[in-house]
Amino acid sequence: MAVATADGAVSVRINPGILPMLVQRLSLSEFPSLSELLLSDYRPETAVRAPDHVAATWLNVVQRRIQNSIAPPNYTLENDGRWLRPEIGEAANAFFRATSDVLPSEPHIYSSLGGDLVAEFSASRGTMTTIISQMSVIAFAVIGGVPVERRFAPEPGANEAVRQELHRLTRMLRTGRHETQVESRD
Amino acid sequence: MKHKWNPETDPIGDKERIGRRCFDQPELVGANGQPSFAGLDYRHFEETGRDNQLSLDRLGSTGIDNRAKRYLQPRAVAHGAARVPPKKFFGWCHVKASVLAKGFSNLSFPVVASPDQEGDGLQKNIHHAHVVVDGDAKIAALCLREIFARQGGFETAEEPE
Repeated sequence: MAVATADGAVSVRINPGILPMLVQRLSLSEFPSLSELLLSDYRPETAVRAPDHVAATWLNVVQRRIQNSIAPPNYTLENDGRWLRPEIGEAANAFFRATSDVLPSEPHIYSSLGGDLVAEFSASRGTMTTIISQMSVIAFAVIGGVPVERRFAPEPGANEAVRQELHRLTRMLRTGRHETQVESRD
Repeated sequence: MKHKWNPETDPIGDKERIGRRCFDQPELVGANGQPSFAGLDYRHFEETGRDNQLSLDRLGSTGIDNRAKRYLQPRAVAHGAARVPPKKFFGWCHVKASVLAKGFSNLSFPVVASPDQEGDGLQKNIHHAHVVVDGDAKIAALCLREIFARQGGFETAEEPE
């Protein structure tokens, strides 16, 4: 079951004693049939869609960690590994926003010596490491002693392909079987 | 008479224990409370010099040699103290030379003996060795980590007296 998350919620209580009674009671026979009702005034029903994917429950907290680790604008001291460059933070946030629901777990993150963001993921049958730089993402997993490496470049329209590859990797990490073996059993 | 191992002159043996120094690595400022990671830190295997060589220590001809450890530990501690900011040395992850030569994922890392005989005192290291990091440095670091994690051990630094 998909789990939806929201940044916030609001509730509204209408006190009929305060507001003038502008609502007139209507009987059901005065409504058109449901099939004639539009979901939107501006879009046909076929164009009104739910979000394509629901973000992982850990996405907000990881994004906050990244944001809180971005070096302040006037930071002039030599980076001792505790800070991220703004462009790395931006690349990492974009990557997690697009793929959090197909990644194996909440990541443990740190800065590499070269300034990239390293994210370590664990699953029931293995671990995966992603190294996020401004221009690319490397995903490296070892499943049953066999390494699997994927590289992604941030290109417009490439998100779905990246998601599919990561979903495949996550599935392999959870089953402990490489994709060819999984497919043959199916 | 049994040959006494001398890293200054002896070639790398297959069963020789090769170590990579491990130092405390910093956490991101904003990452308090994140899930812990039980594996080896990727940063231990990042090559940062300009010569595509990852420095290693020769720890013993067949196992961990205590004389080698006594020789190397002050050098490793000084190495960490000289970093900006200073980093605490806490030990070596180590593996057999033959395992590095065999490699992982079509990458092999034959160990090259390269005793550092320049300088005085702690700047000198007759136990120094290295592997060459060709091609993609990030993939090489990931493969090296995998080798040490799966087929190696860890030798903890002695506590200072």
